[in-house]
Order: sequence, then C-alpha cells, then structure tokens
Amino acid sequence: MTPTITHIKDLVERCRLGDQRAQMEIYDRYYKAMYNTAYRITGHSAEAEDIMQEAFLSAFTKIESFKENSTFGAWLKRIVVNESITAYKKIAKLGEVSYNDELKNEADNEGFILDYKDNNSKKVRLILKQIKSLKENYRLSLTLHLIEGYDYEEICEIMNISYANCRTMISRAKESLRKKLEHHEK
Amino acid sequence: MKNNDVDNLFKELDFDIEEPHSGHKERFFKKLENETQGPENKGNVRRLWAPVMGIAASFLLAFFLLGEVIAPTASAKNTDLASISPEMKQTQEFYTGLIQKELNALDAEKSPETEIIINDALKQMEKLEQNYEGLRKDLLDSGKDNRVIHAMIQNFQQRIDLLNNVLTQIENIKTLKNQNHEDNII
Repeated sequence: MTPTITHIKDLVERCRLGDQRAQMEIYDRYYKAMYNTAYRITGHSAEAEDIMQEAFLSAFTKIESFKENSTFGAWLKRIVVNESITAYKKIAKLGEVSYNDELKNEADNEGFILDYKDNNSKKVRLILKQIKSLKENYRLSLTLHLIEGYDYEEICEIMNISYANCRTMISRAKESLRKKLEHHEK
Repeated sequence: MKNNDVDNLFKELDFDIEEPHSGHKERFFKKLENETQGPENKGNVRRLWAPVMGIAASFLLAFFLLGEVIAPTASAKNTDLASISPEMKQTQEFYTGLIQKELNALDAEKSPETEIIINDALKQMEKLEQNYEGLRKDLLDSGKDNRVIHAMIQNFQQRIDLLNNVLTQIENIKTLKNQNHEDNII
C-alpha cells in the first residue's frame, strides 16, 4: 500500500516526470489558496477559477524552471498573482464590473454562511468588504501585503512601482483601512 | 486601534474563505488531459516544421536581398517609352532603328580626316545617352509623367539631329576635298 499523504517534494518530483495523479494531488492541495488569491485580486469568480487552473497548468509545463530555493506553494502563488494582475488590468481596461459577484457576497453575508463558519468568516468578509471599498491601488497593495504576505520589495516588483512609492502607498492604505474598520466598530 | 493592530488582525485570520464553483476539479482534469496530449503533438509539429520554416525563411530573405539588388536595374529596364503604350513602343523602335542606321552610316564614313569629328560626335552621343538613362529613372519616379515622355522623345530627336549634323559635316568635308581635288586637276 502506498501512503496516501505524500510529501510535497515527492509530488513535485513525480510532476517533473509528468505523473498526472501527482498533478491532481497537487491541485487538490493548493487549489483553494490559489483560487482565493486570484479571487481577491480579480474580484471575479469565473475569472479566478480560470486563472487558478491556467496557473497550475503552466506550473506543470514549466516545472523544470522551479528551483528548490523557494517552496512550491510560493512559486505557484507567484504565478497566480502575476496572472491575476494581468487579468485584472485587462478587466479594468474593458470596464467590466462584476456586479453578480458583489451581489452574491451580500447575500452570503446575511445568509447561511454566517452560522457555519463562525467568527472567522464573518470578520474576514467584513474586512474584505472594507478593503474592496478602498482606492484601487490601495486595495491591491494591501491585499498583497496583508493577506498574501508579500514584503515591500516583492510588491514593488509585482506592481512595478518604486520602493519608496510602495512603502508610502501601503502605509496610507493601512491607515485608511484602519479608519474604516474603526468607523465600522462604532 | 493602531496600524500594528491591523497587522495582527490579519495574522490570525484565515482569508481563504471562497470556494470555486462546483465541478472545478473535473474541469481542471479535462484541461490537464488536453494539455498533456496537446503539447506532445505540438512539439512534434514544431520539431518537424522548424527546420523547414527556417529554410523557407532564409530563402525568402535571400530573395528579398536579391530583389533589392536587382530591382532598381530591372525596374529601370522595364520603364522605357515602350512600357507606356504600343504607340510609344513604335516611336521608340523607330527612333532606335534610325539612330542605329545613322551610327552605321557614321561608322562607314570613318577616315583619318573625319576621325576627330566622329569621336566628338560619339562623345556627345554618350552624354545624351546618359541623359536618357536619367530620364528613364525620372519616368519611374514620376509615374510616367507626360513631361518626362516628351523629354525622352526630344532626347531621341537630339541624338538624330546630332548624327545628321555630323553626317552633313562629313559630307561637306568630302565635297570640299573633292572640289579641292578637282580644283587641283583644273
């Protein structure tokens, strides 16, 4: 019997050989985190799923270029983030706004989601809603910094801005988010 | 609440609250299967076509380069009075025939006495011919302008006039000599 829980390194090794079962297993492990990352950046559920799956596919095809100096998850996430930002810019350019998703979230807030995942979900939704109401670059930089956990250097690389610019933007964004949250608590 | 609190707030929360639409795994599996079958075929096709395309491209390049070298002379050859209309072709043939005839006549008259005048005439002819080459280029550049056509016909006439002049002069010399000769006899 082969053990069901395999170490991620073994899985990556098997992916390098093109093992489809290993690829599906990796998908199983990471899809949720990657989907959420894409969703937070694009704000579009179908788009997020597409990006997430395409990112997996491109990760599998260029798995040769994955070096062991970062974790597989971080490497994959970076692909997702980059793809998401490209897609997001495209959506923004076309002026397409996802009303449906926003409405869905509203419904979720008041609906059944509340009772099943207690406080965490409730708080998260509140915070995400507040972040969403911020200015566009504030929203993106804060999402990258606070939720995805990138540092300033990585963010200025991802968003293609200068380091100083990035720092000020994030601290201002944090400030305005704090105010919004305080306002909400009152 | 301070900015640090915002940081802490994010640390303790799990933001991955969204789930992709149901059936995402099946959709991904389909994509994965397409991908794993797709690239192999694609790779083969590319491997087969790459050298062929390379050769084709180099041929094309060679043609273009040759074309660049040959084109000016070729197009200059094509642009002549004859290329404008059948009437012009007739005109050109008429003039070139006439010039050739006169040149032959001039050649026949070659003798030590007339050599200087014939050589001079040939030099003049060369100049006129160079003029004509220039006009051919102009004809191409101007898109068959009437003035250029006129100039070309005039050029032909000038050449014929020149040759006629020379021939009459030679005739004069000859008669002069004959007369002198006769005078001597008398």
